[in-house]
Amino acid sequence: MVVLSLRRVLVVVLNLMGSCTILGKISPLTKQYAMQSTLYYSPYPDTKVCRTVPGLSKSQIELCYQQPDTFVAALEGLKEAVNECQYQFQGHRWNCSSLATKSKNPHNSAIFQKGYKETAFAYAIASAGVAISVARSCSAGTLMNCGCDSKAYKKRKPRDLTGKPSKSSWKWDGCSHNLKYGVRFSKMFLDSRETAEDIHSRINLHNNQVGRMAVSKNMQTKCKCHGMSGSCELKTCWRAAPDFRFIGKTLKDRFRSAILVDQTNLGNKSLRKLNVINQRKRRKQKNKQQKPWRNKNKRDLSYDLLYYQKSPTFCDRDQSLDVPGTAGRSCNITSTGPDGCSALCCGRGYNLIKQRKVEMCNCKFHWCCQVKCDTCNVEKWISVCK
Amino acid sequence: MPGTILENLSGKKLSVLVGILLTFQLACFLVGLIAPSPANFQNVGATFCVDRNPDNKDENRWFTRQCKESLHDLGNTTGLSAKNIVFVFEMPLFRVDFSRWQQKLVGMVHFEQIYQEGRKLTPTVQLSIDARLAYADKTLDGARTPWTRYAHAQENRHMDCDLDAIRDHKDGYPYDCSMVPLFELGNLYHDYYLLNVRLPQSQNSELGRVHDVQLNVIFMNGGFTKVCVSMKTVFFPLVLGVLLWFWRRVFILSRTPALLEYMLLSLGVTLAVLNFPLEYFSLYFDMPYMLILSDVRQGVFYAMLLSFWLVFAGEHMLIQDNGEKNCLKMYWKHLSTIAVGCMSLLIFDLCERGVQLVNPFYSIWVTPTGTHLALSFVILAGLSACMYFLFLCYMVWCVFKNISIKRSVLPSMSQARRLHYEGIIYRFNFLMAVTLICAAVTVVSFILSQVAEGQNKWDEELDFEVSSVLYTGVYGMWNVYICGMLMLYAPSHKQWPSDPTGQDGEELEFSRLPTESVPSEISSLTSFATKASIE
Repeated sequence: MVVLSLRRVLVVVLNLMGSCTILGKISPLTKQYAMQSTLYYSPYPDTKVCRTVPGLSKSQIELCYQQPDTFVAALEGLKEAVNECQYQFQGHRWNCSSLATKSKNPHNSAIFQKGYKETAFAYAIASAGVAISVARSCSAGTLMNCGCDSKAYKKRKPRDLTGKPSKSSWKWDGCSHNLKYGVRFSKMFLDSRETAEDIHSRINLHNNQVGRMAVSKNMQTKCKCHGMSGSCELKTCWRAAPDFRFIGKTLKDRFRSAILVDQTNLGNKSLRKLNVINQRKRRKQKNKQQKPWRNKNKRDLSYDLLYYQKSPTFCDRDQSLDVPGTAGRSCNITSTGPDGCSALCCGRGYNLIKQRKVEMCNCKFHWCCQVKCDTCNVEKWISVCK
Repeated sequence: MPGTILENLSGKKLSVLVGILLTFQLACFLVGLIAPSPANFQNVGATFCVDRNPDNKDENRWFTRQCKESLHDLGNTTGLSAKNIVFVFEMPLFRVDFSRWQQKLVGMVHFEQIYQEGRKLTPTVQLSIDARLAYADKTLDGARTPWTRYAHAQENRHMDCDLDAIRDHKDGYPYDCSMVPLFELGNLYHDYYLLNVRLPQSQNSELGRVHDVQLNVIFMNGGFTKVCVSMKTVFFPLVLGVLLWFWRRVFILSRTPALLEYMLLSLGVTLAVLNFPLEYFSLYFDMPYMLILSDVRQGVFYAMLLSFWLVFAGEHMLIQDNGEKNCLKMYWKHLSTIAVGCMSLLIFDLCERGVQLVNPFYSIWVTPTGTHLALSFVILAGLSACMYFLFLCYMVWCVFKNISIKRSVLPSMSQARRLHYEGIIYRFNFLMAVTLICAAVTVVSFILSQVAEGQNKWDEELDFEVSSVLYTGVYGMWNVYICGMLMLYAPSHKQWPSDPTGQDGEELEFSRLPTESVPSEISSLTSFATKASIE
């Protein structure tokens, strides 16, 4: 009992400290003490993972020691985000391969340190991935901290993440949605990195938020009637986290209409007041959508991805960016999109190679565990960028 | 013979009474403000457990979330077959336990499938589900009792899939299939529930690559139940009191009670039954039949309310067949529509929820015969509801037509009689209007709550729930309405002077004319009709 209560007190203290460090108002000495004490008293058995991931910020490490299980789910989400990024960009010159670093943390990659359009997408998808993955683990019941909070939760301070579920609230009006926890954790975990007041941090914070909004605004709603005799006298609707592929697609669309902001606006407080450079695109959008509300809120950028550096071509190998270049990539001769040979090969031309291989085809899936395939001899011409 | 209170009450007293009733009504809406939404849900993600010994027929072998061998995802299932995989759901999540105030549990499964290139898709996927439900309770020291079997069934279900969403997409896209309603528990007697689902291979060939399985459980909110039950606890004695007072008033009369009084009495009784806070018993006893019981209670009340309106309109038809005493037989045509509708709904309910008492996984909608049967009952009920409303509208139209005809005769009457009849007609219209307002409020609040429930409320920070405010408000409204009816249509036993003394003003308006006392009629409106027809 004593140990338990000690732990509880410690958790509270640590939360306080965690929030303080986020505010940056704590001396390094106390911070160190806090970390050591978590190491020793953490109620979760396995905090090893916190030491295996490189490139975490101080506040992220603290969060990891507080909630290693949620942290693992967040890492999982980052991995899924990288996969999704690769899926969405598979035909592009930048195919997201540089995010799959050897460390599990894509935030270490060179692209994340820049201000490109691609960076904006990567930040957004990473924060969406963390939110969805944490929400999923939460609904599988594997997280210690993901609790049962009701609406009253909103009024409490955000640091109170590890609060015990209040029994009375569960019996009174049930639990809040698990995605709420996911979104909140994503915010704590990723936004705490961006402590600098420069344009890079502020734009990253914005793009993180865009990613999370893409999740929470695209919840799937389904309803069930369960009133008298199954009538809709009582109807309950619930929301489920959207499929990640769908979020990837949404963010990809946002990527296409991402907005370049002027770097000279460093003094401005609000991102909404940043100068938009590519007005051309905005104007086009405005003309397209003649709805009056759109015109009134034309400066509302809260759903748009923002970037502040013009992207390089990604055509040639660049060590500093960890970009392999497009040489050797196969392209599509007939396509006029980004995966077409003219675009992908950057005008260097392509080689046609006859490829002959044996591959599995006409695969048929049988629930649950069998895939029956035929083997086909395939001979085809593929085009490869010079 | 005295008339009803409605006719004899002075305008001042009437307004006081209406004021009290409106205060009650307002209180009901305000009570809804503190209530949470009527129901809430939880998404429970599946744990994929591996059953290495699938042929073991032991009914008490349960896989929990902490099973010995579990899969991280369903992508890597080499060496396993369908019977090895068990989807495990523990309810509720987050180390809390169900409360008996949460009333009922409805569970639906969602199989998230991924499209694979070259796969032939069918818009309807047939499923065969082996589902087992177990329960456990909290012990005094906070541990839980071992899982005990609650139900086990092999059920067929189907999913409707939206194929358009993936038509232009490539490999790996999820496709949207409908939820599969799986079980429905009539009460939440136990603290924890555990669901083990297996999908046998042979019957589930249409299923695609499942990548996640989610269970959504809906339960009533404890707070909402508490608010509702407290409302019932308050209303039950009130209605009972009004009912006793009403019946005493009828009883002390020298005549036999009229049909409308019988109808009012039975309406009051069904309301009292509806208001009886039966939910208290479900806190102490295992009552899986709670759902069916509350359905029947509500159904009987609605049937009675509908019959009352019919008879009410019929009794004010202003056409009297040579003074014959009214009885229910006269309304057999009209009432049979209600009877047929209610009986078909009752049979449907018994087929669905009655069987669910034995097997909570049962659903009448899954087999073609069951669907046809259920549909035919529902259609029959719908048809009789339409018939009923046609009858009712026709009768109300007749009443208004007669009133307007009789109104044209009014100027030729003496002033005393004219004022008297105008007052009655005015109050009859007033009550018709109240009924219409109540019906309209019910319909509007139903639509509003549907809309409020359907919209995306994710970002809204409302402090109250629209649907629960509407629910308590409407519930209170019908209580207030019926109490008002009971009070206003109770026989008055004021002694009236044998001849009208006052010649002007209110006094006259509310005094009865001594000449027309036909013992079998309760309202002077109807006696007016008799008189008019004789004239």
